[in-house]
Amino acid sequence: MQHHFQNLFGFKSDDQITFDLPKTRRLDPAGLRADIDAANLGEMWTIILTLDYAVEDVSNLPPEKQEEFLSVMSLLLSAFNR
Amino acid sequence: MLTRPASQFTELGTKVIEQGLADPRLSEFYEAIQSASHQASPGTLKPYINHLSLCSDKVSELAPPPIFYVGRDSSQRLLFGDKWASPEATGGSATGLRTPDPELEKASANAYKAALNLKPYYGYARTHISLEGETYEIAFERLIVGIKPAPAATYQICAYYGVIQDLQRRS
Repeated sequence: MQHHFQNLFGFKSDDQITFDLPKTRRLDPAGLRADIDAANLGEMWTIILTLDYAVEDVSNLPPEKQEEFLSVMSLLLSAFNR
Repeated sequence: MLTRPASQFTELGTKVIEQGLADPRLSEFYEAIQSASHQASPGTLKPYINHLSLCSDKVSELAPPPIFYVGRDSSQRLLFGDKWASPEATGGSATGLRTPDPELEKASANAYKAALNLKPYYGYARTHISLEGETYEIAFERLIVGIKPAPAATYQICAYYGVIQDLQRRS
Protein backbone atom coordinates (compact mmCIF):
# COMPACT_ATOMS: atom_id res chain seq x y z
CA MET A 1 0.00 0.00 0.00
CA GLN A 2 1.18 3.48 -0.67
CA HIS A 3 -0.04 6.62 0.92
CA HIS A 4 0.86 10.26 1.21
CA PHE A 5 1.09 12.35 4.30
CA GLN A 6 -1.27 15.26 4.53
CA ASN A 7 -1.17 17.00 7.84
CA LEU A 8 -2.20 20.22 9.48
CA PHE A 9 0.09 22.19 7.21
CA GLY A 10 -2.01 20.99 4.30
CA PHE A 11 0.82 19.61 2.28
CA LYS A 12 1.30 16.17 0.83
CA SER A 13 4.52 14.28 0.51
CA ASP A 14 5.81 12.36 -2.44
CA ASP A 15 7.39 9.96 0.01
CA GLN A 16 5.85 6.58 -0.41
CA ILE A 17 5.47 4.35 2.58
CA THR A 18 4.98 0.67 2.11
CA PHE A 19 3.26 -1.47 4.69
CA ASP A 20 3.45 -5.25 4.58
CA LEU A 21 0.52 -7.11 6.00
CA PRO A 22 1.01 -10.66 7.24
CA LYS A 23 -0.64 -13.03 4.80
CA THR A 24 -2.60 -14.76 7.53
CA ARG A 25 -4.27 -11.53 8.66
CA ARG A 26 -7.98 -11.43 7.92
CA LEU A 27 -9.78 -8.15 7.63
CA ASP A 28 -13.28 -9.48 7.35
CA PRO A 29 -15.14 -8.52 10.54
CA ALA A 30 -15.81 -12.05 11.79
CA GLY A 31 -12.31 -13.30 11.09
CA LEU A 32 -10.64 -10.28 12.63
CA ARG A 33 -12.88 -10.46 15.69
CA ALA A 34 -11.88 -14.11 16.09
CA ASP A 35 -8.20 -13.13 15.89
CA ILE A 36 -8.73 -10.36 18.45
CA ASP A 37 -10.53 -12.73 20.83
CA ALA A 38 -7.84 -15.37 20.40
CA ALA A 39 -5.27 -12.74 21.36
CA ASN A 40 -7.29 -11.80 24.48
CA LEU A 41 -7.69 -8.24 23.22
CA GLY A 42 -11.48 -8.28 23.01
CA GLU A 43 -11.90 -5.39 25.47
CA MET A 44 -10.21 -3.01 23.05
CA TRP A 45 -12.55 -4.01 20.22
CA THR A 46 -15.54 -3.13 22.38
CA ILE A 47 -14.07 0.07 23.83
CA ILE A 48 -13.08 1.59 20.50
CA LEU A 49 -16.19 0.43 18.65
CA THR A 50 -18.61 1.77 21.23
CA LEU A 51 -16.80 4.93 22.30
CA ASP A 52 -15.43 6.22 19.02
CA TYR A 53 -17.78 4.69 16.45
CA ALA A 54 -20.83 4.71 18.74
CA VAL A 55 -22.21 1.33 17.64
CA GLU A 56 -22.42 -2.03 19.37
CA ASP A 57 -21.95 -4.11 16.22
CA VAL A 58 -19.46 -3.45 13.46
CA SER A 59 -22.07 -4.40 10.84
CA ASN A 60 -23.96 -1.24 11.77
CA LEU A 61 -21.15 0.93 10.41
CA PRO A 62 -21.15 2.23 6.83
CA PRO A 63 -18.53 0.45 4.67
CA GLU A 64 -15.95 3.25 4.88
CA LYS A 65 -16.14 3.46 8.67
CA GLN A 66 -16.13 -0.32 8.94
CA GLU A 67 -12.86 -0.46 6.99
CA GLU A 68 -11.38 2.25 9.16
CA PHE A 69 -12.33 0.41 12.34
CA LEU A 70 -10.99 -2.90 11.06
CA SER A 71 -7.73 -1.17 10.19
CA VAL A 72 -7.45 0.01 13.80
CA MET A 73 -8.09 -3.54 15.00
CA SER A 74 -5.43 -4.83 12.62
CA LEU A 75 -3.01 -2.31 14.08
CA LEU A 76 -4.01 -3.45 17.56
CA LEU A 77 -2.95 -7.02 16.80
CA SER A 78 0.30 -5.81 15.28
CA ALA A 79 1.07 -3.51 18.20
CA PHE A 80 0.82 -6.43 20.62
CA ASN A 81 2.82 -8.75 18.35
CA ARG A 82 -0.13 -11.08 18.13
CA MET B 1 21.79 35.71 28.24
CA LEU B 2 19.09 33.14 27.81
CA THR B 3 20.43 29.66 27.21
CA ARG B 4 18.07 27.76 24.99
CA PRO B 5 19.06 24.22 24.11
CA ALA B 6 17.85 22.94 20.77
CA SER B 7 15.94 20.15 22.36
CA GLN B 8 14.42 19.81 25.79
CA PHE B 9 12.49 16.91 27.29
CA THR B 10 11.61 17.62 30.89
CA GLU B 11 9.55 15.53 33.25
CA LEU B 12 7.53 17.97 35.29
CA GLY B 13 5.79 15.31 37.34
CA THR B 14 2.14 14.89 38.08
CA LYS B 15 2.28 17.25 41.07
CA VAL B 16 2.21 20.04 38.52
CA ILE B 17 -1.16 18.73 37.32
CA GLU B 18 -2.42 18.53 40.89
CA GLN B 19 -1.36 22.13 41.44
CA GLY B 20 -3.56 23.20 38.53
CA LEU B 21 -0.76 24.21 36.21
CA ALA B 22 -1.42 21.79 33.36
CA ASP B 23 -3.88 22.00 30.48
CA PRO B 24 -7.38 21.77 32.03
CA ARG B 25 -8.66 18.95 29.80
CA LEU B 26 -5.46 16.95 30.24
CA SER B 27 -5.81 17.44 33.98
CA GLU B 28 -9.38 16.13 33.91
CA PHE B 29 -8.20 13.02 32.11
CA TYR B 30 -5.46 12.49 34.69
CA GLU B 31 -7.92 12.77 37.54
CA ALA B 32 -10.33 10.36 35.87
CA ILE B 33 -7.65 7.71 35.43
CA GLN B 34 -6.36 8.17 38.98
CA SER B 35 -9.89 7.86 40.36
CA ALA B 36 -10.35 4.64 38.40
CA SER B 37 -7.06 3.25 39.78
CA HIS B 38 -5.75 2.83 36.24
CA GLN B 39 -8.49 0.33 35.44
CA ALA B 40 -10.36 2.26 32.87
CA SER B 41 -13.93 1.39 32.07
CA PRO B 42 -15.53 2.60 28.83
CA GLY B 43 -17.27 5.26 30.93
CA THR B 44 -13.94 6.58 32.18
CA LEU B 45 -12.45 6.82 28.71
CA LYS B 46 -15.49 8.08 26.83
CA PRO B 47 -15.08 11.85 27.37
CA TYR B 48 -11.43 11.73 26.31
CA ILE B 49 -11.11 9.03 23.67
CA ASN B 50 -11.00 11.47 20.75
CA HIS B 51 -8.02 13.28 22.28
CA LEU B 52 -5.97 10.17 22.98
CA SER B 53 -3.47 8.08 21.14
CA LEU B 54 -3.36 4.49 22.40
CA CYS B 55 -0.46 2.11 22.16
CA SER B 56 0.49 -1.32 23.41
CA ASP B 57 2.72 -2.29 26.33
CA LYS B 58 5.59 -3.47 24.08
CA VAL B 59 8.20 -0.85 24.94
CA SER B 60 11.95 -1.18 24.31
CA GLU B 61 15.07 0.79 25.21
CA LEU B 62 15.00 2.62 21.91
CA ALA B 63 11.36 3.04 21.09
CA PRO B 64 7.98 3.58 22.71
CA PRO B 65 5.29 0.97 22.15
CA PRO B 66 3.62 0.91 18.74
CA ILE B 67 0.44 2.94 18.38
CA PHE B 68 -2.79 1.29 17.31
CA TYR B 69 -5.35 4.07 17.74
CA VAL B 70 -5.12 7.81 17.09
CA GLY B 71 -8.15 9.78 18.26
CA ARG B 72 -9.88 12.16 15.87
CA ASP B 73 -8.79 15.25 17.79
CA SER B 74 -5.48 13.93 19.13
CA SER B 75 -2.37 16.06 18.87
CA GLN B 76 -0.56 13.33 16.93
CA ARG B 77 -3.27 13.27 14.26
CA LEU B 78 -3.16 17.05 14.08
CA LEU B 79 0.60 16.97 13.66
CA PHE B 80 1.16 13.97 11.41
CA GLY B 81 -2.10 13.97 9.46
CA ASP B 82 -5.10 11.71 8.83
CA LYS B 83 -3.35 9.46 6.35
CA TRP B 84 -0.64 8.63 8.85
CA ALA B 85 -3.16 8.08 11.63
CA SER B 86 -5.50 5.85 9.63
CA PRO B 87 -3.67 3.45 7.35
CA GLU B 88 -6.09 1.83 4.96
CA ALA B 89 -7.68 -1.40 6.10
CA THR B 90 -6.22 -3.33 3.20
CA GLY B 91 -2.68 -2.48 4.20
CA GLY B 92 -2.34 -1.84 7.89
CA SER B 93 1.17 -1.73 9.27
CA ALA B 94 2.64 -5.06 10.26
CA THR B 95 4.25 -3.52 13.33
CA GLY B 96 1.78 -0.88 14.50
CA LEU B 97 2.12 2.82 13.92
CA ARG B 98 5.28 4.75 14.68
CA THR B 99 5.62 8.51 14.66
CA PRO B 100 7.58 9.59 11.57
CA ASP B 101 10.42 11.15 13.56
CA PRO B 102 13.02 8.62 14.85
CA GLU B 103 14.60 11.08 17.32
CA LEU B 104 11.24 11.80 18.89
CA GLU B 105 10.62 8.07 19.17
CA LYS B 106 13.91 7.47 20.96
CA ALA B 107 13.37 10.34 23.37
CA SER B 108 9.96 9.02 24.40
CA ALA B 109 10.76 5.44 25.39
CA ASN B 110 11.51 6.14 29.05
CA ALA B 111 8.27 8.03 29.55
CA TYR B 112 6.28 5.03 28.36
CA LYS B 113 8.30 2.69 30.55
CA ALA B 114 7.41 4.77 33.59
CA ALA B 115 3.75 4.85 32.64
CA LEU B 116 3.64 1.07 32.31
CA ASN B 117 4.95 0.84 35.87
CA LEU B 118 1.86 2.74 37.06
CA LYS B 119 3.84 5.96 37.32
CA PRO B 120 2.03 8.43 35.08
CA TYR B 121 4.42 10.60 33.13
CA TYR B 122 3.72 14.29 32.72
CA GLY B 123 6.26 16.46 30.99
CA TYR B 124 7.08 19.28 28.67
CA ALA B 125 9.05 18.94 25.49
CA ARG B 126 10.45 21.35 22.96
CA THR B 127 12.31 19.86 20.07
CA HIS B 128 12.83 19.87 16.35
CA ILE B 129 10.99 17.37 14.25
CA SER B 130 11.38 16.46 10.61
CA LEU B 131 8.23 16.31 8.56
CA GLU B 132 8.02 16.10 4.81
CA GLY B 133 11.64 17.21 4.48
CA GLU B 134 10.99 20.33 6.54
CA THR B 135 12.16 21.05 10.06
CA TYR B 136 9.75 22.35 12.67
CA GLU B 137 10.20 23.38 16.25
CA ILE B 138 7.41 22.06 18.38
CA ALA B 139 6.57 22.60 22.04
CA PHE B 140 4.07 20.38 23.76
CA GLU B 141 2.99 19.03 27.10
CA ARG B 142 2.15 15.36 27.35
CA LEU B 143 0.64 12.96 29.80
CA ILE B 144 1.22 9.24 29.39
CA VAL B 145 -0.61 6.77 31.60
CA GLY B 146 -0.76 3.01 31.73
CA ILE B 147 -4.27 1.59 31.79
CA LYS B 148 -5.74 -1.85 32.25
CA PRO B 149 -8.73 -1.99 29.91
CA ALA B 150 -10.56 -4.49 32.16
CA PRO B 151 -9.90 -5.90 35.64
CA ALA B 152 -9.03 -9.33 34.25
CA ALA B 153 -6.95 -8.05 31.35
CA THR B 154 -3.46 -9.51 31.21
CA TYR B 155 -2.04 -6.52 29.38
CA GLN B 156 -1.91 -2.75 29.64
CA ILE B 157 -2.37 -0.04 27.11
CA CYS B 158 -0.63 3.32 27.21
CA ALA B 159 -2.78 6.39 26.70
CA TYR B 160 -1.03 9.50 25.39
CA TYR B 161 -2.67 12.89 25.88
CA GLY B 162 -0.66 15.60 24.15
CA VAL B 163 -1.29 19.33 23.92
CA ILE B 164 0.65 21.27 21.29
CA GLN B 165 1.64 24.64 22.65
CA ASP B 166 3.68 26.01 19.78
CA LEU B 167 4.73 24.99 16.30
CA GLN B 168 7.11 26.95 14.09
CA ARG B 169 8.68 26.13 10.74
CA ARG B 170 12.48 26.39 10.95
CA SER B 171 13.57 25.52 7.42
